[in-house]
Amino acid sequence: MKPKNILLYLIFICTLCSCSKWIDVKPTDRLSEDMLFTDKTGYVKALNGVYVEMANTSLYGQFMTTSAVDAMAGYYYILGSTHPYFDYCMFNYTNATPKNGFDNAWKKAYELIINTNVIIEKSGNAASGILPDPYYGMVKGEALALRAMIHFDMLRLFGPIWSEGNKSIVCIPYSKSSSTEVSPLLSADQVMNNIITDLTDALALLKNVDPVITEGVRNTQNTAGTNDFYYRQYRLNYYAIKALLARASLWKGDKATALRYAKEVIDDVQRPEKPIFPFVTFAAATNADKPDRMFSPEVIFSIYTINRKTMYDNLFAPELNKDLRLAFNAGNADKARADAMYEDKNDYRYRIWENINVGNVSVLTSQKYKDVVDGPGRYMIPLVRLSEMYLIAAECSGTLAEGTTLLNKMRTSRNIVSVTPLNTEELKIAIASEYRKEMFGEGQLFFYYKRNSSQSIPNNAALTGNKTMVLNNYVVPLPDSESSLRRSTKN
Amino acid sequence: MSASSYSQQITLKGKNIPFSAVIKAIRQQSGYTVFGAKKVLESARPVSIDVKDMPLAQFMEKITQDQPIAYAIEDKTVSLSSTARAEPKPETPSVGQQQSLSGIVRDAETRDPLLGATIKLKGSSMTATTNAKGYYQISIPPSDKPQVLIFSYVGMKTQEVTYTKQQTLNVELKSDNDPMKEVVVTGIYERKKESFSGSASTYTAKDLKMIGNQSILQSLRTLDPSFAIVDNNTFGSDPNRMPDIEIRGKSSVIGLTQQFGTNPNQPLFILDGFESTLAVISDFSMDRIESITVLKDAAATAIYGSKAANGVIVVETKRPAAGQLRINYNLNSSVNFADLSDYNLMNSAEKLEYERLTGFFGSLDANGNITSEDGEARYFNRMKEVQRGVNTFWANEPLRTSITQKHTLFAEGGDQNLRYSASLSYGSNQGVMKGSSRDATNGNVRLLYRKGNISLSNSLSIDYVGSNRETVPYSRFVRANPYLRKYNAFGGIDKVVESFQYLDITSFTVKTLNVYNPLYDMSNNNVNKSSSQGFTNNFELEWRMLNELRFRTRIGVRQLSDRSEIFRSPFNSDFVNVDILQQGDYNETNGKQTNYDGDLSLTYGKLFNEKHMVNAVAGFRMDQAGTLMSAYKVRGFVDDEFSNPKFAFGYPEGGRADYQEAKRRSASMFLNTGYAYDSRFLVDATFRSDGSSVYGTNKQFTTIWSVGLGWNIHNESFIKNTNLTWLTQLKLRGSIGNPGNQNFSDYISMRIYRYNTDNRNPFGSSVVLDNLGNKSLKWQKTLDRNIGLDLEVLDRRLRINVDYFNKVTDPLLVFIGMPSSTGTTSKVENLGGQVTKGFTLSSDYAIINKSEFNWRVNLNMRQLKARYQNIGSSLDNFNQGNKSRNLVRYFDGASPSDLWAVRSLGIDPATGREVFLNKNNQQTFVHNYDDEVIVGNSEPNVEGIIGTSLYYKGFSGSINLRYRLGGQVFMQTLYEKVENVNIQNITLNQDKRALTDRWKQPGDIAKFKGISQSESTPISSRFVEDNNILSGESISFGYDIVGKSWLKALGASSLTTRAYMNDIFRFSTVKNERGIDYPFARSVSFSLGLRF
Repeated sequence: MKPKNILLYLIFICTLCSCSKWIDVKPTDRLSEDMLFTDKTGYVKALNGVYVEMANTSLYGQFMTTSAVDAMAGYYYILGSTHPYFDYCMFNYTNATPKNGFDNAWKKAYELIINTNVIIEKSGNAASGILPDPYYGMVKGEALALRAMIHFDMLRLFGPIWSEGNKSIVCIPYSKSSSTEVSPLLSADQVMNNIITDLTDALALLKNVDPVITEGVRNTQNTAGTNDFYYRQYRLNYYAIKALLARASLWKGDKATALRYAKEVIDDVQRPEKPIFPFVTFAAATNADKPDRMFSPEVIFSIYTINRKTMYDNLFAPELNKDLRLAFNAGNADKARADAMYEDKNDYRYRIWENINVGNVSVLTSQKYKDVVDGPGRYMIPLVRLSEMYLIAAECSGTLAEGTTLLNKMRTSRNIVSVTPLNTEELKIAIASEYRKEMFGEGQLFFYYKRNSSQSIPNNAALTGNKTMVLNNYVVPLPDSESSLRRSTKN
Repeated sequence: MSASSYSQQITLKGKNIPFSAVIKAIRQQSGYTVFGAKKVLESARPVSIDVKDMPLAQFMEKITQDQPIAYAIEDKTVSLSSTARAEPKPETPSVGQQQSLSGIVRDAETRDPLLGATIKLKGSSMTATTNAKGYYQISIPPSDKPQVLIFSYVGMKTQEVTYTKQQTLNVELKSDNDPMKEVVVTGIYERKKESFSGSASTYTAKDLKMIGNQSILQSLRTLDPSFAIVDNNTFGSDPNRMPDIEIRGKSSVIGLTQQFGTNPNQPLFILDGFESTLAVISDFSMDRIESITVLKDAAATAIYGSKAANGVIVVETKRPAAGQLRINYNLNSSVNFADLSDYNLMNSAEKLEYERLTGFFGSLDANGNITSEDGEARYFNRMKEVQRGVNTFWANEPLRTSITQKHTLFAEGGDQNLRYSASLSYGSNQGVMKGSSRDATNGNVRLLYRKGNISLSNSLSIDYVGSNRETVPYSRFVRANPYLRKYNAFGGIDKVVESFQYLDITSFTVKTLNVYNPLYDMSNNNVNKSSSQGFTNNFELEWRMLNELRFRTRIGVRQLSDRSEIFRSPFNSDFVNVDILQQGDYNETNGKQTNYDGDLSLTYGKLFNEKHMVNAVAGFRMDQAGTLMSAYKVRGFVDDEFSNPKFAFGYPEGGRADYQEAKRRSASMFLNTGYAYDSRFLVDATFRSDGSSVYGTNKQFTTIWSVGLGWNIHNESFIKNTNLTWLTQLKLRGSIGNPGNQNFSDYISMRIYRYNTDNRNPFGSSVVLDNLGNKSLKWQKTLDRNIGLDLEVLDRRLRINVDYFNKVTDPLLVFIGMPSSTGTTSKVENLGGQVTKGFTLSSDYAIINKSEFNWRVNLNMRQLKARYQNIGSSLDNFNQGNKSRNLVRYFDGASPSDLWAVRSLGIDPATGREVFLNKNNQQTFVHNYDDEVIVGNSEPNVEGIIGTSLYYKGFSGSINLRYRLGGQVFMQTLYEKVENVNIQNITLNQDKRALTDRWKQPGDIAKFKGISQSESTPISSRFVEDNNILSGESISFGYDIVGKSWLKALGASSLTTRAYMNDIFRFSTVKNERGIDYPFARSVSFSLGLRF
């Protein structure tokens, strides 16, 4: 054979062998799964993707916190039918705007769930060379907890009011698959079991790796490297998972467990010698320049969004047209609604309500999320806070005395006088009142009313007073994008 | 012994040189292949010779003159045979002296001398070839029998001339009508048509130019019944809109083009062996084309494997021919004007009457007077204008008579070793709408170098395309009211031509409606233009390793940069009531595509024992296609003097630059073999293994195969022996194979993450799933079966080709709807199938068949039937979405072109309401989508061309008419502009039938609902009508002038002229508006070819 021919055949054979390599194209402006999960930084990026995307306005960045879900809880004074949130506070779930809003929230939630599912699947069952400890525990634990938390919020929105009779009602799917296969709709009970299981697993995974237990929240830049184990307040940390367990247990009526978890959190994070989530101080809450309206030290879990100002500008800013704003009155300086809500005017929380002059008009404005440059918790939207643990513990404690103590401890931290409820009924009313004051703009109040099957909620059509709530209105119908394509599995 | 470089002249000196050494010298010096039976060579005696630069033919003559050997020179091959048996040696020159004959051989058409033409004395071994000046000399031995000379040349008709003892004989050879038709060119290999079992048809530039001079694709549509251009009712004759092309119907789910990003039914285009694009082929100059081959069935297309399911179009450009520098110039020009014959608009009096009857001015009393005073005042205001004679035909305003022209200059030349060609073409295509145009410029240089067994070829092309689009869609003009004036009293254009108030019934508020002048927007400085620059370089190396074995490698690089700019003036009526900072916007998009192709192949072809013809091609191809796109948008302009983005206020809020990058690669190995036994039994088989980055990691490679069988019955002895001379060809073909389809967007099989740029947090970068992908996605393949028959009878006067095919695409690649809790709302899945059956027929018959006078008639025909299978209810989400939008539904067993609607019995004469027929054949007033049945099919029963062509001396003419029989059409015009005219749209002009054909009073038998009913009407069978069409697709006349003295004075050797009328008339059984956003055009064209 001539050398020329040999060369030719060599080229031929080499090219044949490299064919499969050749067509294995890696995209350059996005990442393929195989490229991403090659080392721990890929896992961290994917996990962080879920946290960042949770701040999307169709989910916790607005819809599930400040706007729709809070409007449904009757926080705002909304009268006009053209107001973008009117249909939410009237529970007109079949109208176009709420339909669209719930659909987007649902889609985004399950998009994030499949993101967590991929991370969970890719993490495997033990720490590995690609994903060593402590990353394994952190990544998989947080992904599990995120999956549970998002499912829990979907259940609270689209599922039935929990009761012995209702818990077997088929409501939402619990998606654990990383592929696009359809998960069956499960009963509320089954969904709750999955949530508790995921949270419990997450807790176990984070127990030995989460620095929040030993080092605290560490809300500072890590000078030595990445922030993977810093800013624990913005991640589903060990205590946040415990708090979620308390919240979830109470939802399913398991008061004993709820109490246990709530108390464990309280005991662990407020040790005088090393408080991890201390109550806000008087100085911080009343600071004239940079008031801590979030009570940021006591937020156990929150999302971090640099777009919080946009959200504020779109919903609360005094410059907004009164027909679009989420306000406590008809677009003027009337404080009646706020005054009725906060019985003690020394309340730190009352301080968010101020009249702000726009042109010649003075407009009552909620400044909770007002942008304060370099202020504490500037980019925070709280999702789990310590006070809720006090409220849960107070609600679940066996005795009136213990409950009252817990409630008053929390009230004291808000700079208001203690109360002495005469019976558990009065205690319950006091707790509800604290929920309303405490969780403003955080999307929890509606679920509190739903959990308690409350038939009376604040009236959106009057400055003060309540309106009757039809229990059916607590259950949002599944979006069309889900139900219309589920024909085969509908039962 | 000395030898010069390759030439056709031989230099040799020596005594008693062994004959084998002489042959070796011939091989070395001329590059010709010399062969002969071993016995023959051994019988040869050594040669003593001393010649210098002797022409090969003469040399051969000399060395064989005393030998028992005859030779023949043909196509670079010298074959030697024994004369011992075939023919006794000529008598010794006792009868007379050997005569010498000389002369010049020319091309009859161009009158160029032909180099290398062969002259042979019939029945002897005497041959000669012509030199570069066409000159030949041949010795003719004396004989008392009549002697005949045979003149032959590749690509020319062989001519026989009786020798009459003359001294000189000049001969002109005519080009063989369709030399390319004898060969099937697939871009990877070539095969003699007679021994190929696949279904393919080949057309030359001449065929294409007989039909039209504007676009290759338009001409191909007329010529080939399997090739269809889908009528685009929205964009008509828009020069910047690429047509949708199909070969033998669709293989993929239609209506889902948006989801896939590309048209999954588009055929594959191959230009000189490499993949090309629709846009390049569409802009390509017809005068540069050598041939176009349409590969149809699996046996023909399987060599392109997973890209071939929609058929392949192979374009070969002209290869430079050797000779002196020759220049060709071609001009193609046409005059186009809009075809508005399908528009049926109201004039101003009719429109006003229509408005009155609809109750637009308020309800009417018993005498037909308007009850509302306001309304009456408005009515009389308009009436005044009508009375004054205002009757604006807005539809003409944006139109023009446009002229398109295309100039092509082609130069070629060279010698045996190096040949070259250069071409430059410029085409300017104005659209019939003002402001729309497409200019394409192309330059190409081609070099061909040949030395010994190696030949190299390089083709370099530079393309530039610049296009402008009209900025106001045609529909806005069509819909403007005829009683409104275009210009104000001062001759200027007002922005608002009419303003009035009306009561909105839904909100009970008085609203103001302004009617804007479409001319105003057109007069603003709006820009919508794009340009692209392309660069293509194709290199080819061929090495003839053995006589029957060739190695070839090709490398192609293609790069295309494009840029588009859209500027909308802030003064446009779109921006009324928009914040001043957001008025006007500017979008810029820049793209770049870079493709690399490479292939290596080995080709083997040999005839064994004169009976077994074996052909084989093996090789592999690799390619990479990369695209890059970036775009941005700015908004807020105070002026439209300049469309400069620098003058914008800023970016849209939250706006971001857009950037996309994608790369896809494929690699494939192929083997194609063909075997023909005695030119009677044919077998072709193809295997191809294809890999593509588009498909899932689990399914990256796939195998494509095809088998074809053929039987040349005309070569059978039982035909030959029975003197069936009228039968020249009868061939039966059959093939089966499974070509695939890759026309889907990149990365559909991969799980892809994107960076989240909307938000950030202290944890650094974040990624989220962007595309869930489907890793187990399988390749979409089509099982393609074909049976064909080629028949030529009556001395080739009647030719018929028939193909019947059955294509099954299973599984289809479809986007199915998913419950959103899966994390996505739709997912690409392998599902169901589609069966397409049909036949194509092309035939022609020569009524008169003389050398100077030829008259033929031709008929071609296509039928397509398709249906879905096994799709179940998975596409119900599309069915839901399509309700109230169109009549396309996806159901098992139904055809993709079925039209679904509720049956209508028409309008109840008593009430003016529509009566429907439900599924149980009961009459009802209630329209329910569940009652939908198939009410028609948009695909015709048969469609094709009927035509005739005539040649008489230099004149030629052809008429080709398109007919379409059967099939229905959804009458968009009736649905939108006769009915369903809501209260806002009453202010727009409508179809005349909205006034004349609607129900007005009890007892009226009308086809359309009550004239005053403005609520929306659902689609029903009432809007479906039978659609039969006859149109004048192409009429052309031409005249060729060769060798006239006045041409010589111009320095030209030939002149070709041709005039055309394309789409000059159209008869349809329906009156439905065509060309909604851009009208269709009729054209009269002219082409001119000059050869110097």
